[in-house]
Amino acid sequence: MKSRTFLTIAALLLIGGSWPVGAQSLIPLRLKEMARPDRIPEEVQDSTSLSKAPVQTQLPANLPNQRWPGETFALLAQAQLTKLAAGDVREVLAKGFQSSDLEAPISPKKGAVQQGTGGILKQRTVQEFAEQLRELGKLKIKIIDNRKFTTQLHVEADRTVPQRAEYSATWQCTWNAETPPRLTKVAVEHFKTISSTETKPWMADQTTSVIGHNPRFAPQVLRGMEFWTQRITRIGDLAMTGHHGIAVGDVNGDGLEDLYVCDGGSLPNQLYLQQPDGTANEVAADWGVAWLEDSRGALLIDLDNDGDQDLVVATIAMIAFAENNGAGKFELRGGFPGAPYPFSLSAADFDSDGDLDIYTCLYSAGDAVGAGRRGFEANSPAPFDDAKNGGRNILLANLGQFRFTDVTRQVGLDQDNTRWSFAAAWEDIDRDGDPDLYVANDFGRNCLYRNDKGRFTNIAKEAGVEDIGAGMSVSWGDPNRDGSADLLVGNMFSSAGRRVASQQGFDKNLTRMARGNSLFTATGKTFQDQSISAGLTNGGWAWSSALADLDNDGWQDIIVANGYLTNTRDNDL
Amino acid sequence: MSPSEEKSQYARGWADLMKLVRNGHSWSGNERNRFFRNSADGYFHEMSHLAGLDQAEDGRALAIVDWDQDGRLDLWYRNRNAPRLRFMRNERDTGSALFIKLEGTRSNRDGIGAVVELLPTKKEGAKEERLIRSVRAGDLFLSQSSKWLHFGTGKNEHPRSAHVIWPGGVIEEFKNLPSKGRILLKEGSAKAIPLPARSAITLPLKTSPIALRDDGKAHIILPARVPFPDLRYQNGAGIEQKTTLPRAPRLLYLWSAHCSHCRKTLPLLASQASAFRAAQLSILALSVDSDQEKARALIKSSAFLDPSGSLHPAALTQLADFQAQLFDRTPASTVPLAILLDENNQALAIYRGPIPPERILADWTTLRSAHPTQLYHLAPPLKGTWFTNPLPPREVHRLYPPSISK
Repeated sequence: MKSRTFLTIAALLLIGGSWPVGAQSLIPLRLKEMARPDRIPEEVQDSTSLSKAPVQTQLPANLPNQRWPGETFALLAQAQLTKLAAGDVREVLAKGFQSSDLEAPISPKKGAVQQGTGGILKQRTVQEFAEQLRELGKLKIKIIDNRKFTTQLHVEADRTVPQRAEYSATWQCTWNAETPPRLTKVAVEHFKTISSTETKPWMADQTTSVIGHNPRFAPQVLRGMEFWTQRITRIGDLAMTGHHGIAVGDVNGDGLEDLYVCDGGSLPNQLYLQQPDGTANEVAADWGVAWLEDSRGALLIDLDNDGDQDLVVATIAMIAFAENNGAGKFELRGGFPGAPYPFSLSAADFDSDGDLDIYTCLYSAGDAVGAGRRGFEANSPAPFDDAKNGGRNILLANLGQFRFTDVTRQVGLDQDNTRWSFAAAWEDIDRDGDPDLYVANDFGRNCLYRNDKGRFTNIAKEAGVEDIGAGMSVSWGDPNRDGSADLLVGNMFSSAGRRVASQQGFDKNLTRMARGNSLFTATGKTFQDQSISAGLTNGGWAWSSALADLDNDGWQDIIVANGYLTNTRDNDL
Repeated sequence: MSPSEEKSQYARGWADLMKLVRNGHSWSGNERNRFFRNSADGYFHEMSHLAGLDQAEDGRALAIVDWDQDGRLDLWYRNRNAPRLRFMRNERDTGSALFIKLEGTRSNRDGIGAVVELLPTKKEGAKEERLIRSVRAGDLFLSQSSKWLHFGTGKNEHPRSAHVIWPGGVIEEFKNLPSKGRILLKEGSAKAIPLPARSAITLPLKTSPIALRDDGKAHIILPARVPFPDLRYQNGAGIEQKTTLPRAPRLLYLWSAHCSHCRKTLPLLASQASAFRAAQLSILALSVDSDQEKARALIKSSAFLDPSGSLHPAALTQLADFQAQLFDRTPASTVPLAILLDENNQALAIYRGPIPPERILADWTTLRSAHPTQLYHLAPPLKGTWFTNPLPPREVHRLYPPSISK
């Protein structure tokens, strides 16, 4: 079925025809993101009703640590550090334990930043070290580098007494050879404490105030993918990864911003219309867009230049185009079915003809390889640090009347175009009036396509922005206020990745893959990588990473939405 | 390492990790979101906690917008786990900001792609840094933020000029712009239109949304008829049998004598026996206990007269496989578990936890003759619309073969 669809599209392009979209072209493409299930028997309990299966404390034998031996020690050490973070140090410290100071005494100065090293090591009793930890506040500890018996930790803490403050530090730890290992030394390599005299955080969570009154709030906001993927089948296109986007725009022209929310297969997309009092009512069904197809990215833009916001949604069945009829409804005008694995959408007028064209990232080439094999099992990225076997991103040119055609090849965007792309964003970097395009790719090099009057050339290498890494998000801005466009790329910072990659058998690129977020500042025709010196690489497993000025001082700050898969069990891989 | 070795190693490693995640492990989970403040000297200080932007959900999309139009940027987060949306309202005592909306006439109406430079005021001298923003639709990851351009002007109250590079390259100057508020710049008009300020709004609740606890109960209508494995069991007389009955729909009810819900449900099912018979739906109650005597005694004391027995241990694995194949997150194997099967041993519905027999009968009435499109529309747990057709039954059978009997 699928190959026939592609053939149809190819044939249309060959004869030079555009791809008219209309209701008759809606084709039920059914492609799943996730791999076919792995077969793991789980014991049926016969002793309790409906309680969860007992938590497995023994990790299964097929953990990757068997391939990377250092990981076994890391797991034991992490278990000890979890105790430490909870303030339970008795079983964790070795005899004769020594530590440096963990931070400097608090400065009374407003908004003070204090940093330094922990200084000389001193012998500490269990009580003394416990007290040192307690003063830091609520602790979170992660291993970032591990050679047996010496471990580098990233430590974070926050507190509200005696004043609001947060602490982050790199600790160098030494362990003894006992099982489990015990700490002999903790030396603080670098710490930073930021304290504030402000009595409350900058931002207040007002989610419940704004949308809590909607009937959909409990099932669709207070329930996550953990809940729904145990109840909605793969046939219903629901996957655990939760890649569902949002779009802001004023859909009813009342001057207030509204919000469109994508959801997974079998869960309806939502449209929140803002009311004069700041709350928002969920009206997707009334507006005709409570679609159940697995939806990834969405855009609210004026596709036909009639003054209202139309809707584009990247679903796994098609890129759907809906026209705002100006009377409280979106009407589905058709869709482009040749994009079965879509992620982020980004719109711009690439050919300066006065209407908006749509770029779609297609992460994977799909599941065509091998019957019944899906996702990464059907089609793995290779080589891991420079994969070119992903999906083919597509530029759809707007022909007017909600008709679009795939012009990717004609405009030169088929260079380096199958690199497992998650996100893209347009910016006129050379200020010549046509938008250039940056594409973030998950397994290796990113692309920067310079637009010269509608023809594109990938200049990522010359410009110094290939950014080998697990690219997941793109944000353009001007954080150094020099007038040129700078670039923030969201990347994976993975403690496990860094530990594994720093062991034998991995080259430099692979270590670089887990470095984290990148900031490139423009200097003439090229960019400079400022990520390390600017101190922003550790954004965690970062997805959306944004440049935005939250305190109105004109200097763009960085906001990061991160975390991969939080689950019911504590064991974090 | 050759590329094919590396590829298969990656696939294997990925599959290993996903296997663990499907069974409840976290993978770079519980990471707190981050905020880095630009310290205006080339450095960013992380202060997620002080900014209140350190929530632990798995973030995905992020939209930046001055939602309440109070002159400060607010944030909408889209998360994988609950709460799946978070609205973070900016309450910081900040300086001012000028918000600019563009309207294209020759270029696209939304002005997407335009670059705006707010020019420094002469009075401030050469030290003034530049403020440049551009209009975009779609950036970050799966996100679209507001098309209103935001210029943080701090305490600077002087009027300014702006250059707009419209898509296509035409540069237009707008003079005498205010230092704060909201203005509209129309292409070719050379004149800013101030927009009225919105009155301040109050949002009373500040409590964070709390994810609902999963009690494990589920009432699942399947979107297609899914082939179900043929399971071995011992009947009341100790004779081994298979669960499949030729051309006979049935409700498979799995229970344990240790489970109080199960003990309560058995008499309920027994009392509905005639209704089930009238609906031509037979019941097969199978205990998962190793103590078969106790199970038989309970069947007897519940006055349960339909066929019953105890499930073969290997069948438990097949059942777990069946659910692991269907659901991306493997559900814990629990009882009571009921499966509604059609006359071709295809599953129509799955019930976890106590479900009144009347609900099952009502489902059966709706589902017994439902065609593929009807099932596709009945399955979603919340109301919405499909614009696609269902997966053809032959595709379902290709992807979800019944687990092979062991």
